[in-house]
Amino acid sequence: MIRIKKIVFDVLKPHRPTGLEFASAIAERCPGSVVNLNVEAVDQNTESVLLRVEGESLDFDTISNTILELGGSIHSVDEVEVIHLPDSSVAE
Amino acid sequence: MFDRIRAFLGITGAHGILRRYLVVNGFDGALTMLGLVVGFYLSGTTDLRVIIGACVGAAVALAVSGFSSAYISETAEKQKELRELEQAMIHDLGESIHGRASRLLPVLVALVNGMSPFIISLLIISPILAAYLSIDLPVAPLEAAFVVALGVLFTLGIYLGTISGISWFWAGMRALMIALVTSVIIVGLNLL
Repeated sequence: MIRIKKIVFDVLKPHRPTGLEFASAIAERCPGSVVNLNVEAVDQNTESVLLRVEGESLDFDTISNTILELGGSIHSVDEVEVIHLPDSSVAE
Repeated sequence: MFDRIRAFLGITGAHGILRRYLVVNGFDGALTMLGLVVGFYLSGTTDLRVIIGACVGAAVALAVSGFSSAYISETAEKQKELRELEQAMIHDLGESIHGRASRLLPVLVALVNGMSPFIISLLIISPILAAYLSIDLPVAPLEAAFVVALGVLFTLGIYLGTISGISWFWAGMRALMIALVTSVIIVGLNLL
């Protein structure tokens, strides 16, 4: 079974919600995750951020839908880390 | 539901807008009722049914006017803001929290702008309603309503004072002065 352990997005987002609110909303949807948000550039109405989400088993759709729902736009997926767990360890 | 509203208010920064509408139209409602009460007192009208009918009619008109004007203006304003944000994002935000906020916020603002003068008006004429329902009051109903109106305006002034960080007492007194000047103008016009 393939599990996503880390994913880094390049996101364009409005100033509101703030970085803290944005990261908290994603963490809320992904229990057990660690969310890190770095502001890369700030414009008049928007800001480019690097969003790093780490966890034991992340759901890509949940994270991307939350980003879109918060008004963000995913420019690219810059980094991913996935793990292949043998079926026996999943059963445990 | 309340969490959603709180989130929308946070995103749009609408706390200030709601507060402004609450006070501005609340002030309108209070001064309108004060004017009606003073006018009825000076004209010597004692028929409580007539007084209540006129005051409730004015309160309903203020509520409908407040609701419709705020809804129309806020809808236009929020649509403009959303379009500007969509242009900056080069992305449709209709289904995002911003799109939903731009549809919900005008309704919230309209409700606040409509209900604040209505509730304040009912509060001010409550002594008249009480007298109409044969509840004994220590003072005459119109005088009691006048005092309640001054109290409401003083309270609105205090509220504004605490928001702006100035002395609550002087902010209350300023609102009270506006009420008294309004009453004096009405009395003066009545003497003409």
